[in-house]
Amino acid sequence: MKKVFALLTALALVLSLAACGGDSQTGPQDPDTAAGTEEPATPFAGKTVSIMTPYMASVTTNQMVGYLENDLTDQGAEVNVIDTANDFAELASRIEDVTASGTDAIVLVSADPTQLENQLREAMDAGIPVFGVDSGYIDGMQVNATSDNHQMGELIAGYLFDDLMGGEGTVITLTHRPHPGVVKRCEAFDELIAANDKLTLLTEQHVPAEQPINDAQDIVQNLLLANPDKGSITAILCAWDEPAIGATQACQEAGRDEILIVGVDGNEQAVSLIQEGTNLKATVAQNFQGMVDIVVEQMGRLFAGETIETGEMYAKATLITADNAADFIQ
Amino acid sequence: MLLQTEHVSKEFNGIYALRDINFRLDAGEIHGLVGENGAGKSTLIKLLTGVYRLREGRLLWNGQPVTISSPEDSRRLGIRVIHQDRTLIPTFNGVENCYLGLEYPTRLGRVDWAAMERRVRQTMRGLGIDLDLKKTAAELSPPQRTELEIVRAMMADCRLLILDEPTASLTDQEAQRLFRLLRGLQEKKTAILYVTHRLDEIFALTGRVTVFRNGQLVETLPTAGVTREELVAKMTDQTAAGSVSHREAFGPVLLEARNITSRDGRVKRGGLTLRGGEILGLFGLGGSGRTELLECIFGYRAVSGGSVLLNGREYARLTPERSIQNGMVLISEDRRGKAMIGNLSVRDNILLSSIDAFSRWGVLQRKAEDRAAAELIRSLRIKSAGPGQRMLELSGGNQQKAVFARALTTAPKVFLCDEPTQAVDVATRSDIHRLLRQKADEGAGVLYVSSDLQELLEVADNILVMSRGRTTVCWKNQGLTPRQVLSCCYEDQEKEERACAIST
Amino acid sequence: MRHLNVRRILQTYGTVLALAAIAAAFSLIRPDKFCTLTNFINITRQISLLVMISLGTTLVMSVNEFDLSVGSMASLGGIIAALLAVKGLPMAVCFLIPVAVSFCIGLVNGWVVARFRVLSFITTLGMSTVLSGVIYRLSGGATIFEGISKSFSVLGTAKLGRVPLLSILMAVFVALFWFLLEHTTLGRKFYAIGGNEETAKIAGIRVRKYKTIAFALCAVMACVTGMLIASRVGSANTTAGDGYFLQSYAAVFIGCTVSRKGIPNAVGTLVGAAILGILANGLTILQMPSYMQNIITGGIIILAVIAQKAGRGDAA
Repeated sequence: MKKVFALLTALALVLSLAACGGDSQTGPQDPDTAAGTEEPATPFAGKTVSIMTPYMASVTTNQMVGYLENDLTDQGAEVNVIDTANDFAELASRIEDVTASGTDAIVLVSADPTQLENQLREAMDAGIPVFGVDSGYIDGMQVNATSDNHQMGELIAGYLFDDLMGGEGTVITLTHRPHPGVVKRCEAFDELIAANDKLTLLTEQHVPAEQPINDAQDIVQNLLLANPDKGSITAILCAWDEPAIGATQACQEAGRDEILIVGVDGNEQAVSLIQEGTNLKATVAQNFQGMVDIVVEQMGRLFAGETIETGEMYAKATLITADNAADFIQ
Repeated sequence: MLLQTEHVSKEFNGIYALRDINFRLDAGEIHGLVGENGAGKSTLIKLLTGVYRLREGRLLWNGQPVTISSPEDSRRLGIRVIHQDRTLIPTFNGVENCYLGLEYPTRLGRVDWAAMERRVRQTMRGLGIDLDLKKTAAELSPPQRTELEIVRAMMADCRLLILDEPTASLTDQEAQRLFRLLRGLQEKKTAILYVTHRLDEIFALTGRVTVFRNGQLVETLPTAGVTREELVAKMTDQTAAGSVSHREAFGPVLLEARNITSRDGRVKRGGLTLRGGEILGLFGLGGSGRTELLECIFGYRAVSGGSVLLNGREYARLTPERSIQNGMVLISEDRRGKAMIGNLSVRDNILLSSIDAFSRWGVLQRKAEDRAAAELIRSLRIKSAGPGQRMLELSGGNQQKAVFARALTTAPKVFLCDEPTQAVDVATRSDIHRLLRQKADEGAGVLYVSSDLQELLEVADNILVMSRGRTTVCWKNQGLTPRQVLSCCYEDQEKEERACAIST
Repeated sequence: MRHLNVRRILQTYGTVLALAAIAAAFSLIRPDKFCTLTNFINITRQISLLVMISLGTTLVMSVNEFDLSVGSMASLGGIIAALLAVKGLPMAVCFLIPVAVSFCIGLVNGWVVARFRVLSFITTLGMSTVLSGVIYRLSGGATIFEGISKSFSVLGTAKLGRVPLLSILMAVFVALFWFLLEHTTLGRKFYAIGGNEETAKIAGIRVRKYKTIAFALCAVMACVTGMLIASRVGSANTTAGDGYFLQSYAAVFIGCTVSRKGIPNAVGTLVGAAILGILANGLTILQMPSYMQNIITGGIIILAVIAQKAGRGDAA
């Protein structure tokens, strides 16, 4: 019985490997023939691009990966998407894997390259170009296309402090500083709060990434209890949209409609809450398609043999409020 | 005088396990220590080996006061102990086991295995022991494991060797070998403290014997000047029960096992017939497959061949559950590992096989349970603080009684008893013998495994011998001598081929 | 004699005392905020999800096994329920189908562990990875939000008077599991198997069957928790349950210290989760920075376990 089971397992494994292998080889197995056919040769033909992220569960990361996958596939590249579900160590190993398999380019999505430096260095030494979307930039990488998170932080915090709060009041911040983009927004928050004497920071709370809505609900609920008087909290400034959603739900439940909440990202659930006229007043939409466009364009030029300028490149962000929320609902 | 204890006491939660012990031990003597379970023997050993810390009284070692506050202290004095449950690491080989707790010698920064093996071999030569040091402890037979433990104890200077029920898993023959070894050590001036329930061994081996009862030292006296009955009388307040009656006529066949083969090959061909009213003794040397045969019959161990006839129905494959439903119970030899759940209460242990019987729609009937458990605790005279006391807090004998109580809850017709009196006190032992005889008189059948041949000859109606995984001859227990039975165990293959035939 | 009594009290009630001490400390520092009925109700709701997932874990640990797939099972439960809700199926169907699925997955876990006698640690770790894959396949890795009707959120957000439905569900489940473990044949058999599998088998208990049941019920509880998380936040995140996995083991382990025998039990699990919940609640009310909360919470878990061990026995 045991032997039969072991045999079946082994068989299943072999079959599944064969199936996978078959899949990946049906594409441009032979670049010469692919390039030689009637299609006008794009620089992407026959290229394998590995899209790697630890945060696929996040709506926005998912969106970016989707855009990338579409655009690159349209251009004729073979795309390989790898998600490691919040696990950076795993991501590092998978980078080693794709390096070993000789991928033509790596695109890191929403992952801090400094945490993966050794593996990326290995890839770059092997001549594999590394791009980033909303990630961060280290020496040797080609281009990281991102929103200027600092600017986004300034945009939303400035709008909250100046336009919504009238320049004074008490603020709670919900942050997640391990994220490379989010931390820059937080730094912008810090600077703006420090620059204004009439603003008081009640507390900053860290929100874990696994279930930010749920955790933010608990945190804000507790903070509302600690500050039970209406008006004792003017606003809650969230470094991304999911805690803002949780904060909004907690405020609604407690009947504290006077509290102003803002987030960053332009997440659908958040936008619909803005549209409904809840505590959630504004968010900043990153221009994800814009970032992806930058990376695809630069990658194309590189594949075509041109030299490109390396470094950070920014896609401009837009503020979403109740006025223009409808435009962002799909 | 090597060791002396002065007014040593030890209490747990206000109850004294030892009270005012003044015990003396000389170098080069074999000193027996006897007493019922819970008399305080183990507590004394644990004090000497640094498991418990001494708070009342003091110890003198060669006349000098010493404190033993850790096992290391004890080792440093030259005290070694060999426990009833072996303390070898099963996956380590002989050399590695002997070097447990010793510094590994190194040469050029690398472990010098050759030097280690030389030293172990030297120790073995000195003791006259021959073992394959390449084998892991798991691959050795029980007597070989005991020998390996002795080798380990003798690796460094050993002044006092404590043996706690060392023959529990040995047959008489194997025990004799152990005794020869111990006498050899005695000549080398090593003191030996020998703890056992088997009084024969006390008389065969020791020069002096100390009797404990209820945490107190009753008397230390020369073994030569005391009879078995006197010794038992000092250990217990009651006199030892006489031997049980033997029966001539039996009821219908309750259990028949035919050509049982276990999947792991430990049982090669086991067959037996058990009738109502019969106590059938099953005797075999260590590793003969007797425990395994019982487990195969019960459906606990995987079988690859043979069949079991129970209640007139033939089963190719039984499960413990089905065996119990059909009135067969197994009292396992490994009490801690297979017969009790230490962390649960005495009541839960007793009712383990009848959980469903005391329930309605899956809900436990607590009151009925309590009544049933209390009734069994009373009738078997199980000493406990109450049905809620945790099983592991009972003494060995009382644990075993609780195991029997569990068996009784299912009203069995067939008892498979594997070493049921191992490491229990004299009173419990005769209680168990009486109980089983009573059940047999009521029409049940009892299959009784023991490596104590004397005990088997005492209780069994018929005796079946098992050797090298096969059941061989079956005798009527009448005028049978231990030598007769033993000789059979050592006879050749041709005997093993012979079918089991009961001489009536 | 006196120190022995302190020991016994520590051993039996140490963890409950710790809970009381923590609550008392917060009440002293912030009597107006912490020690209110509103906050008490709050805490019960905040711990409700952790308690429910931990009750399942308690069952598996009562048969002396581990289920490391509870986190991803919870995530999967939420994802399936949300996907069905997006399809516009009736709510009862949305919540019942995941329960059935999780029951089957639990049966597989239990069957593999019991039949092949493999380590549950590895088996369920494997299952956890499989489930993450399934989640990814079903959701494309994205949080599911769009198209979920309002009625999906009723279970997670409804209140009876001032009391959230979640708190009531928690109370019901704790009572149910307490009864199951203490007063049914099932519970007695679980504890017997957990206490000594071999003895249980020889005593005629069908170890394989009951282990499988424990795994199945554990998976169902994880799934129920996952669905309630999704219902509470109004969307299903692919990693929503992951954060509960380690916390649930912390709660059960602390809970073991509540029992004198040191075995997993329903009330203990509630106490364990309450300690974690009250710490998070109280420290946030004190507006303590997050890093301090982590340090204090972790420290108290370690102390609770040490206190129990120290209260035990005489052995050096």
